[in-house]
Amino acid sequence: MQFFYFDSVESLPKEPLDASEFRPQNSRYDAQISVFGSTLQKKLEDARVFVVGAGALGCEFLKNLALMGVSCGTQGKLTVTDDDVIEKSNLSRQFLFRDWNIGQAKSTVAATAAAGINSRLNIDALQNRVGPETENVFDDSFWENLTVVVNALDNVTARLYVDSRCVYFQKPLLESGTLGAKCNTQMVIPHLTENYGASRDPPEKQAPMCTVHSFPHNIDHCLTWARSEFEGLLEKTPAEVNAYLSDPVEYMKAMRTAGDAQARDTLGRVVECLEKEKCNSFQDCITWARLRYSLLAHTLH
Amino acid sequence: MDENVSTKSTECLALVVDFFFFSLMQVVVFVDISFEKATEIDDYCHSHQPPIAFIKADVRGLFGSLFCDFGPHFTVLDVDGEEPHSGIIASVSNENPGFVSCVDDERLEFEDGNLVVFSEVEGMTELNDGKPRKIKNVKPFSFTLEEDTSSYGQYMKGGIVTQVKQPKVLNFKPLREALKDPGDFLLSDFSKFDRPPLLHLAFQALDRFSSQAGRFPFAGSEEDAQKLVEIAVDINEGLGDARLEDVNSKLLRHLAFGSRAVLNPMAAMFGGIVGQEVVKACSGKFHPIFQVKTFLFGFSGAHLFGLCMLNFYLLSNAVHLCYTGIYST
Repeated sequence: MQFFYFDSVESLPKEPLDASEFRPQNSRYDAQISVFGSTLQKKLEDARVFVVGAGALGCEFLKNLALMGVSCGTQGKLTVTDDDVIEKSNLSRQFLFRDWNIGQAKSTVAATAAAGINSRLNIDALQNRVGPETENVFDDSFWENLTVVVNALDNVTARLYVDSRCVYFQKPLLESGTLGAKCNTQMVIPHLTENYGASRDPPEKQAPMCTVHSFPHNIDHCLTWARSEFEGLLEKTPAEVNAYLSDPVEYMKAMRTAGDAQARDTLGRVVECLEKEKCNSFQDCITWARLRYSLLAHTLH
Repeated sequence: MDENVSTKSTECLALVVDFFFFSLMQVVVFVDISFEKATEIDDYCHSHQPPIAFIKADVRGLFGSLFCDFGPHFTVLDVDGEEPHSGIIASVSNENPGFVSCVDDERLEFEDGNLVVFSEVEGMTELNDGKPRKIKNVKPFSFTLEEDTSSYGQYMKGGIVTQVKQPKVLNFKPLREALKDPGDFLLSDFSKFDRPPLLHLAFQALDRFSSQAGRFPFAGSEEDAQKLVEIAVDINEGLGDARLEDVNSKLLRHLAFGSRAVLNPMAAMFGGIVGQEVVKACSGKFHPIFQVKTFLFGFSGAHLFGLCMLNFYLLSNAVHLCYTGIYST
């Protein structure tokens, strides 16, 4: 098995088109027009598209949409939103970004780059997360005006939310996702296919927290336990301590109103960090770490 | 000197220079070359020591074709790129053959015939020698070894059993042979299971069309489409037993009309696939386009398929939606 063939003839218009449809127009889209006809090209150009996310998939989609001339007509509009900023590690795959863009908003940089590919592209970049809290931005009239929605998200919650909006407003949705070397994609067309939320993946294997804390007996449990311990020691507690130090009065007040067992636990750790195990120098930190290691990895076993 | 001869010898010289250049490469990728030229180059790459991986890819309108030849003996070190599965041992019997049971909080994901290694076993320390052992009768929480353990130390506690990835050797055929005898095809869509042999024929017909006419068919030219169908029928007649019952002239017409067009989503998708095949050729990780099983898996469980399929589906569906989706709304 060394050959691979692919065709997408089903993408062609169902009804045969008039020969005049395919006539070259001396435009950058002539190849596309020769296959799909000028009517479809016009539709692409006047499409109002919403791309949710400007990460790895978002960059791919924006590039393709720009090259195809989608949202490049007078009626067309492409909205892209992403609340993230560009990090160095993104540069290996999010190819619309360059190293001088690090720290800038993904959607803005991606939009500028896409417009550089096709100057006719009518693109609008936003930094809003899509969810119930931004329904003032992505309001009814925004959704109603869309032709199609393209998801380029990295979490299931947001996917389900966008899906529910698409079902409500009867908008087609292109859904896709990647994980390592795996990927999936799904096309949702109102009144024709099922929606994204209609089927769910089986739950991932996960160790119950109680097993992890009281009886971590296999490697996965131990790793989960270690991670949780690490997060507690080096992230949660220091954050609590900093919250206390920045406004002791407000912090105490909040703790008093909370008044549950967890608050007591948290306070205990704050006290421990500020009193008993207070580290003033780097040497203190080393000592603290060494003792903690010995307690966790030796004494407790 | 006859003009033809001098042209011919210049061509030969050019090819020699090309071959020298290829011999410096691990992988060569060709687009837009005729089968005639491709077979010549692939023959060289296939028989070169060490073999040069050869990839040919073409995108014509809504049709695409890809061919891979990674040499007569290509070793895939890791067919799926997954982490090796492992289990925690609960007991090992002293008998022939030895029976191993594992703790029952997680099902084992081994298969009969897998190779495994043992570590950290207390008591029956003979198992900790790091040698790969073949397993059989794999159940959710147990399996047997192909080994007599009756004389080994008595199992006390502990131990981890881990799957060992087995390298796999693939015997690629050169293009010259594969063209005549393509074997099974990698399916891209289960609703089109009869399509690949037809496309195999269609791409050869298109190749002959362009070498005869010196150009590809014009979009909308019924005359050119008819010519392509005739060539396809002619090639098909010469196939003997491998002959197709029906040469789908409607499909060939679509191929003819779009043959001069390179569409962005198709280019993006095949770019992604070819890129991934290059990685496979260089790394020996992930199964190349060669064998059915991995791919079928990829479809049924929506898992286990190489990055190559990434751009493929994403983008083919992207075009799908942008074209047909807008039609249907």
